[in-house]
Amino acid sequence: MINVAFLKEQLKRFWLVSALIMFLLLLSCIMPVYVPSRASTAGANYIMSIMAGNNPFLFLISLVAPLCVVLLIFAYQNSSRSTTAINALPLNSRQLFFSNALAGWLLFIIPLAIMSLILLIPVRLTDAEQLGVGFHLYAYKEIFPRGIETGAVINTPLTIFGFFIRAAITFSLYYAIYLTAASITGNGVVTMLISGSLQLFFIGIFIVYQSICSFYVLGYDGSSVMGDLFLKYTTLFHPLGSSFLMTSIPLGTEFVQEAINTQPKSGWLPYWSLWIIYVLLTFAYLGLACYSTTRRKQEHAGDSIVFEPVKSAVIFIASLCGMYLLGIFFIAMFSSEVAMYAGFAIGFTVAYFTSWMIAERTLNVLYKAKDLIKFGGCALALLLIVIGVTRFDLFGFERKIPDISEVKGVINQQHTNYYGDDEGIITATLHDEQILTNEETIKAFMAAHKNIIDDRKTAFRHHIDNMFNTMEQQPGQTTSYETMQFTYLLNDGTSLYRIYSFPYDYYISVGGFDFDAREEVILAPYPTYKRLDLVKEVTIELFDSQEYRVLKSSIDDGSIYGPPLYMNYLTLTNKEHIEGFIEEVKKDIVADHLYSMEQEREGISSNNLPSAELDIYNSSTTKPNVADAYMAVYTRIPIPTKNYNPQTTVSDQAYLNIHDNALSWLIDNGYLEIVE
Amino acid sequence: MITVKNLTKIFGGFIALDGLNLHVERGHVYGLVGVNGSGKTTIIKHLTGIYRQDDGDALINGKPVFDNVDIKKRIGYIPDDLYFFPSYSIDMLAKLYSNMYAAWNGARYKELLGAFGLAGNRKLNMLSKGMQKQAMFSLILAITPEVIILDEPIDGLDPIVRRLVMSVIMEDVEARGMTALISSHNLKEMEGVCDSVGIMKKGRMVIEQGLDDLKTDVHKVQLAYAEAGSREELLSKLDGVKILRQETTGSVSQMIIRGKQEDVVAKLRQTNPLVMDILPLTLEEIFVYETETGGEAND
Repeated sequence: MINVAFLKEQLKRFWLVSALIMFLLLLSCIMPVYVPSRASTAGANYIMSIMAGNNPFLFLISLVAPLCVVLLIFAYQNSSRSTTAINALPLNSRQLFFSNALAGWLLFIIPLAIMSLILLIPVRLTDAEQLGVGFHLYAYKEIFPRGIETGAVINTPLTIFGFFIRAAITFSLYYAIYLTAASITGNGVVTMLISGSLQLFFIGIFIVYQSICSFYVLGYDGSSVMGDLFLKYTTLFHPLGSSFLMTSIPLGTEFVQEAINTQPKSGWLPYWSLWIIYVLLTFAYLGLACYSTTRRKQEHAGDSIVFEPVKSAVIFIASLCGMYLLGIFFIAMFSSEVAMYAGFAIGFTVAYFTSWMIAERTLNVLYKAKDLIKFGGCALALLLIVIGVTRFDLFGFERKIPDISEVKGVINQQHTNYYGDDEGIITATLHDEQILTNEETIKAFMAAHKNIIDDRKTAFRHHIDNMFNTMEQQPGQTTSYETMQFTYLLNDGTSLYRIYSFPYDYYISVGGFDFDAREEVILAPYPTYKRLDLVKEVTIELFDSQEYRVLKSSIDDGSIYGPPLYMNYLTLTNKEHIEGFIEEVKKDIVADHLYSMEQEREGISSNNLPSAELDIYNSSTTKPNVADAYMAVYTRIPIPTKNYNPQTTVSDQAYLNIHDNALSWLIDNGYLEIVE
Repeated sequence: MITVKNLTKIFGGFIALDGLNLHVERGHVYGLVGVNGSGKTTIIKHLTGIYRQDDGDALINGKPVFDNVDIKKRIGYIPDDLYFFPSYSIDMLAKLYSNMYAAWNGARYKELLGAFGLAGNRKLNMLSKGMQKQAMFSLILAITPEVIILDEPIDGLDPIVRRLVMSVIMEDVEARGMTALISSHNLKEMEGVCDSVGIMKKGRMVIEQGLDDLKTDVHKVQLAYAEAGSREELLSKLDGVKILRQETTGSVSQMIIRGKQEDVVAKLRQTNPLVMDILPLTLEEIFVYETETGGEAND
């Protein structure tokens, strides 16, 4: 498979590229670790960011270096003369491909290996606090599953070996993508364009999918769960691109973390398994590249794309992209559906001819006009299918409401809340507690959903109006639209999700308000209430308190007696007291929510309303284990102040109503007293 | 040694090779001639394993060439349009060839380099086209090929080097039984070295024959008659003789005729010419006449 003589020759020819990559790695990834300047981050932090694949320079090099290597090694395919010379050598096409591919791979792997060896020079963790900020990165936790103490050596042989493997996989995956691009092209510029397109392939599909859904599909507002989940799955195929584009965090570590944490069962996909997927994907791309390279006809050397069917497909996709972009642009410009279709037609035509210009490397492509009818016809057919499936709900996708016997539970929160990415790992372990299982609640939930589906025409009109209103909305402008989310968790383990945005009146008329006012629904986002067995302490923070004095606390860390900042803290650890107190907080929360909802219904902004909060946090940095979890409940209780500001829309009475139960309990149980 | 059977190659609807047949014996020098665009380079690229055929076979030693490393190691190929790795010297390329071709002969390489007066450390891309060709000859002949395939080998070479090149090729043909397939437009040079010739037109082999046979089979005849007869009358008397070309001026006719010389002479005598001269034909003339008729007369 490999011709050693040719491999050596290629390495000899391009060693300078390897040296350049080494130089860049030295300059951007090694020097800042060992020669930290005043301006740069500390060495310990820097090496951590490198090891976690979170370093922007490494990110850039991993994207660009493999591309440069591919462009150079396979440049011979771009001219008939060089193709003839290389293919006349005593090599078969597989030997030629694999010798070239291996040579290219070595050109960036060798510098990476040398860099890893240099990074073995010990660096100690000296700046724990600064590093701690980065510890939320899942990758850090993977590197140090037992944590790391200040003063310990970060770059042990094992951690550096792990870094090398991950970096090699990332570089190799991108290399394989570029090889695939080069295998179907015969022109350097087109190779680069296809390389970029392959990078964005999944993202592109997602964006188009999201746009189609947001415009045509009732029950999809175009900005949330389906898209989020889709993005999470693109992480499986794309370690860099998706995270770079969507979160601007390189190498996807944050994204990987989210992908893992927000899956229905947290941890179903361990961190390392993603890397296995990347390896498999690399081999898949490599296989594709090998197949294309060995099947390509050498007489097509210099052609933009050497396979005619692929060329047609690429031009069609490029034309669709042009159609999509100009359509979106026209919507933004004219806020009109007609303008969008005009944009589609113009965009498709312009992109079609532009693509041919690039493909044929000539401006004279008018002779392709007759094929435009063929290509345009396909696009039109595709558009009609999309409209049929989405707008007219051809397959009954939107109308589907499961039978109550199939439903295990329902959720009216966004998946992101449901899966608890804000609350961290422990909340994720409690996600089942957020499911609404009361039969009456489920029926009310389904009734509201059915009301929407039954009046689909009105609902769809609102949906489209909302879309254009959202587009035209100025920053800071509030919307009178209410979002309704319907998630059914079915007995077979699957889920069904819909999201709608409607004007407030419509939301009330379909029963959304009544449903949201149910106690079980209001308390659903606070799963801790259902698992008080896990709660070991409750910390209560009294805000703006000059009227109450803390009398006792289970834990006295010296900070319980305020002011200076008019804040008082007290902690409960007694099991019975915790349960009693939380029962009262629940009453307050329900009252708080109902009050807010009523205010909103009457058109009063609830922005200044206080809220009884019950957050949980987890101080552990290790992986979660429900049985061992240390859980603390943290409550903030704003206290009405004597210095009441009449400008606020919130009355003293409102404060007192909302927190009456919790405050009364604390006073009754001797934790607080009123200052006269 | 070299066998091409019904080879077909289509480039985006254009038939470059149309069921082409070709045969070259071991130790022979084969001249491949044809007008521009007749498919010479295409067939050569099949025989060097660069192109994959759409149909038919391109065989060397009875084995397919495409993707056959063993066969490709025995082939020396010099294309018309040379390509070298940027900044490579002759010696650097020699090093690569020595590693890739088992039969590499370093002494022969030095000897040829000396014969051409080239220094091994010269950068290939800095040499003139002629010198590049000489360097390629040094390299390709040093791999001791069983088959050498040359596409316009003497194009750009001065007459002295041209002779030198041809003599070193012939040396290997005679000494080692090397088979050579040469494509060229320089038919005079070809005439001196080829054992057999294939004339191509529009992707097909118009004629393929030993050069001597070809020359004895095609004749240029000048005839003069006492009376200026009509062309039809003359032609009716020549029934059975294949005329490739005919020009009549008054009572004098000049014809290019295919057939055995004795038969042709006997037939022509029946027309009672006053004068009948059989003139010698060059390969170039044969090529011109054969390609003009497109081999239609060659049945």
